[in-house]
Amino acid sequence: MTLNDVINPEKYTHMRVYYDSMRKTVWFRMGATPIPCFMPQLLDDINRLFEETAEYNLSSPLCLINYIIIASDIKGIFNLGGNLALFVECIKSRDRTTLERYTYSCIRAMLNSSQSFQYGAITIGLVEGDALGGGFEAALSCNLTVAEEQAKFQFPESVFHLFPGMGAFDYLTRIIGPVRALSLIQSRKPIQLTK
Amino acid sequence: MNAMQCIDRVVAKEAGITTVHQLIDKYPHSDWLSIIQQNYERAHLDIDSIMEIAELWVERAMAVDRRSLTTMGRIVGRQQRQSWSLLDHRMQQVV
Repeated sequence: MTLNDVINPEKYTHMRVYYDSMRKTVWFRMGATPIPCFMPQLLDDINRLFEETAEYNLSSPLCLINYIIIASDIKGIFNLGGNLALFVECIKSRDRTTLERYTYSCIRAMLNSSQSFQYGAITIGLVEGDALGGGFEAALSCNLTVAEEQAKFQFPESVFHLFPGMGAFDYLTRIIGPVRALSLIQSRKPIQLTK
Repeated sequence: MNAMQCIDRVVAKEAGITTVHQLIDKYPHSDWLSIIQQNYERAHLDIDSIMEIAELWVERAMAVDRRSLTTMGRIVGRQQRQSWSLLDHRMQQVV
């Protein structure tokens, strides 16, 4: 595994990957057409990038990937969260297996993001637009998070009688404790950012 | 809810990239690794709990009622329209 193998842009269909050699940083900007949510292909891209970075950093004595920046290519949107179209399709056709596979892929991405520092790659979430549901969870999974003041953070899942199930509660509990984590998840209210 | 507890830096519009660079440059990489390792050890992630909640989420999702499905379908429609308008806007900028 070489650095060029990891950052080869042709391997990634749903995100734009580039390397900043001065800061030894890999940037990936999520695209995900037709909707900027966590499409299964985007999750595959993310997991591939993290897992190849691990393989590369562990085998390279130079360890040339020190940071991974998670951002969006879509103006005004970081990520809209879970793939609702897929949920509807799976629920209507009683396809539990696909839904479970999707869930595990999300959790794999979250854990890759929060634990990649163990092989030297620190994750920084750069939130320049709305981070809803799973998008908020993705930001929480990063080791550091930078948000621009216009970004909106919100868990809207209770609108359709669900809850954020891919790690939000555990990630928030670490930061603000279980009671406030639960209250934030249930509130549906967007978090106001103040500098 | 104070967002500062969940977000490490809140910055002005368009200042995000510069702030990321400043964060990286603030300490040597090895120092950042120590800070993050300490934070991680202080508040360990409970992976069993994450998996349990995810399994519960699948159970709940498979049991949502028709009304919730309709709501999800409506949101998908809205998200698609929003995405198309963003794409239109980008195309107009290119033209």
